[in-house]
Amino acid sequence: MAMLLAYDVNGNVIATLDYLVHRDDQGRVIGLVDFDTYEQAGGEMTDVWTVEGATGSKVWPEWLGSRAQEFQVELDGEPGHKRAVALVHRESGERRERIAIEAAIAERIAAAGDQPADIRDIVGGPGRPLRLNDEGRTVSRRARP
Amino acid sequence: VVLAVEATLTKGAPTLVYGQLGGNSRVHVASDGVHVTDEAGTDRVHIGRIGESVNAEGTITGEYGLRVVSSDGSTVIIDGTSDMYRIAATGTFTLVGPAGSSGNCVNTTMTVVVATDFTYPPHVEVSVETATNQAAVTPYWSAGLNGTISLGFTSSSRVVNTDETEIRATWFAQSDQSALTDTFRYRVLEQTAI
Repeated sequence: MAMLLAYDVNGNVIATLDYLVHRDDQGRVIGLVDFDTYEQAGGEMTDVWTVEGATGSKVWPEWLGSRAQEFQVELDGEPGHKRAVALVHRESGERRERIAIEAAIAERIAAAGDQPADIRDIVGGPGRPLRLNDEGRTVSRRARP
Repeated sequence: VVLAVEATLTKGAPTLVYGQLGGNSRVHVASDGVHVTDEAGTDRVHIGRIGESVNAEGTITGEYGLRVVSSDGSTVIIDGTSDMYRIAATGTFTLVGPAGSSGNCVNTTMTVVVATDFTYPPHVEVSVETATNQAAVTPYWSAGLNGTISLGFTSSSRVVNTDETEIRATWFAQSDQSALTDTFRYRVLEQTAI
C-alpha cells in the first residue's frame, strides 16, 4: 500500500491520490488498489490517474496528505522503471528517503515476529497522513508540529 | 458468540440460540439478527433484517442491513434503508490563485482524472486544506459590488474516457491572487444502497 504523487516538470509535487477503491469484475468493492505492486510490476501510474500540469506520477510509501506538495521528487532507476527514491522539502532541504522508510518498516515487521506489525507511525495511512513540522520532518501525533 | 455461531452453522436443522451472549457482552441474538445494547439497555446497533414484521399474507418483510442509533437512543445515524456516500477515492492538489483585477474576474483551474470505473459523474467534494483563503468547502462565493463575484471556488465532476472521473476545481477572483497557492483535498463520493 502507498500513496501516489504527481509532479511537474521541475519535480515539484502538485497532487496526491491517497487511495482508490478496487472493484471486482462485478463492480463490487474488494479493497484498495495496491499502487506499489502495480508500479513494481511495470505499470504506469498514469493508467490510474492524470493531473493537469503534471509530467509524471510515482508511488511513495508514506501518506503525507497535502503536505506532500511542499516537496520535490527525486527519481532513480532505469529509463521506464524509475522510482521515487526521496522527497526533498523545497524550503528546508529535509530529505525523506525511501530506503530509510522501507528499512524502518522491515525492522518493525521483524520485531513483531508472528504478530501483525503496526507501522502507522512510520507511514501514516489513508485518511490519516503523517504530521510534519515546518521543515517537513515527522512529528508525533501527540506533539504540536 | 462462538457458541451461537457453532449452533447455527451445524449441518442439518439449526439449533435456535436466542438471547444475550456472554453475560455482560450486551450482544443479543434475535430472530431478526444481532443487536447490541448500551449500558442503559438501549438498542444501539442492529445487524440483520431491519424493520422486520409480518404482513397480512404472513410474509416476513424488512431489509437486511445495519442500523446504528446515537447514545440518546433517538437519533438514527445509519437507518439501514437510506443510501449513503462512500469515499471511492481521495487526494490533494495545489492550485495557484488567479491574476484578476477590479472589474475583471479571471480564474485558474486544476483537473485530476481518476480511473474510478464510474460511468456516471459522481458527486465530488473539494475543500481547502490551507487557510490562506476563507473557503472551507467549495462552492464558496464572496459578493463584490453591484452583485458581481469578487472571490469564489467551485468544483465539478464529469465522465471522461468512458469510465473515469474528472474532478475540476476553479478559483476565480476580481483581485490579484496570483501570489497565493492553496492546497485542496478532493473526495469522489459513491452513492450506495445499504
